[in-house]
Amino acid sequence: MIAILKNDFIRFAREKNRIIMNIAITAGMILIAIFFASRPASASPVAYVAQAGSVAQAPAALAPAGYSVAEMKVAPPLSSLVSGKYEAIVSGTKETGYVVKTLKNAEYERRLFSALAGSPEMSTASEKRGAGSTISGFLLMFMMMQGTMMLYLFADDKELKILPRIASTPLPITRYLAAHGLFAFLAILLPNLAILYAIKFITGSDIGFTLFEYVLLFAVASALSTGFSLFMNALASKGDTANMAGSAIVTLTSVLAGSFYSFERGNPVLETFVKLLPQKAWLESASLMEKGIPLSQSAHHLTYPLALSLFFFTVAFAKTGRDYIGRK
Amino acid sequence: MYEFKQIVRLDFINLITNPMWVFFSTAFPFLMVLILGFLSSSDWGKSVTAYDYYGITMMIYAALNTATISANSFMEERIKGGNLRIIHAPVGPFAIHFSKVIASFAFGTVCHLTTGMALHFAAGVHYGTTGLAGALAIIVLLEFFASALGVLLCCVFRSESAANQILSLVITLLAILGGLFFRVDGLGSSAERLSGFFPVKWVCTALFALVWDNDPSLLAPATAILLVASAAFVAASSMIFHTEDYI
Repeated sequence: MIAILKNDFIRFAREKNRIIMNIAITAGMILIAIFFASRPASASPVAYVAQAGSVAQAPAALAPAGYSVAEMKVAPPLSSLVSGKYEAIVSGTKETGYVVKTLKNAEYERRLFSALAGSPEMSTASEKRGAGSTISGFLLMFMMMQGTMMLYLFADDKELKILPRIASTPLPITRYLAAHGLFAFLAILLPNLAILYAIKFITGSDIGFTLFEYVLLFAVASALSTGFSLFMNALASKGDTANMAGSAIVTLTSVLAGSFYSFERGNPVLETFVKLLPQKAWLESASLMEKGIPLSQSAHHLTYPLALSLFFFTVAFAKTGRDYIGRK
Repeated sequence: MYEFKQIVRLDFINLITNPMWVFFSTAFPFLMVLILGFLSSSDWGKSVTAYDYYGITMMIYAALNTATISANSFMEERIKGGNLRIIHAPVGPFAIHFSKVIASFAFGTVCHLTTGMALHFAAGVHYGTTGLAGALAIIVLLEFFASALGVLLCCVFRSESAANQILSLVITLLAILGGLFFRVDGLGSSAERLSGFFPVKWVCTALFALVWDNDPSLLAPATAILLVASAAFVAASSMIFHTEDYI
């Protein structure tokens, strides 16, 4: 097992291009995560079109209700509403009253009108993320995707027909897979942590969590990622299929779980589904840590992702064993 | 020219007969639009639906993913041997790598336009009226851009798996920053400014302007940038690809 692990490191070290690209992408991702973390998210402004004879007190009415207002002479195009640059366009003259154009739902429109009428309703405070959970949310999806990347040695072994030979040696297949898994786990965890701290050291930015919390969170994410990609690689006969299907699934589920932005508001079907995603539990734990809740009460959310990764490992062991050695 | 056509034809057949690629290029974007559209539909009003938004952004995402298709078309383990054996034939190195760009471009365009049509009828996705031709031109050029990029990375790494894994990370990164999965503009002005540095965002803005405002002012710069970038990728592939490396 140690031999396989050492061999993995040697094979990996040979591919300089891959290592350099990997470090560059990781550093880029972490820089972007820190950038987003250092500037708290705010809602898009409401565009207010000021014409001659328009109802002038709109900015004054909207500002206390928590809307940011961008005043302009000419109404912005419809596509700026589609892309979310503005949440709504408010215009209108004394005769017509306010005219609101928005693509958001009826509830939003009602709130906006009542704010314009001078009786603001406090909108349900959207949860503001701090530096720690923003950075870890970004990196969660990234680490999940790195799993298939770092298990390419296993995929190579399968594709280049090396695995049947290994299966015929006294090395148990579980230990062989465990060695590849351990390699991938370390190759995801260590560079991410090291680069995160290197950037923190150079730029002096606030990264939120303590080292221990990051190690804990990243270790669970790396374990989940490794487990999932071992599972995908064991099921698929080719590395490409595993990589493509795996990154498609990871992208979809991470976006849904709210790696970057929470989707679920008020959709019961979705909420139930999202609760089943391991990334959701992981993010929950990160957001509890952020609120300063002690680890003893926030870390239990991490058991679900860990249990799931153990399940993935078990299936991968069973499937590979059956494929290459046969039923016991 | 006859040889070149034959190579392209075979490359195209290799792609179209692989069920995984066909699924990845048709059903996957289709499902993504339906799922994301359904999930975020409560956020949107009646005039423009979530399906309209994702119908366009996922089309960009799918077009970018053509890069992984072209990387596979070139150096997938199963066909790499055959693809590179023709370096001994009198066809010249350019035909070997450029044929993959053409084949995956054709494959991606056919698959994604079919998907777009299916989305239009199934989910009522609006692809514009007078702006439709311009929007299509941008999507088609984006397919070409992505195909050229995939082949270039294959030439750099000389292995499809490295090229592919890096592509899938980079494409996802660009997709997030370009607002393809959720609206980055809603995350505040600094996020908006950051995503403005990335070309995916420009393509997205150009498409929205064409589809929703019938405003073609961004069409010319978008096509120019995509054409120049694609030409640069093809030229770089020619410079990096040396047949003697693969003997």
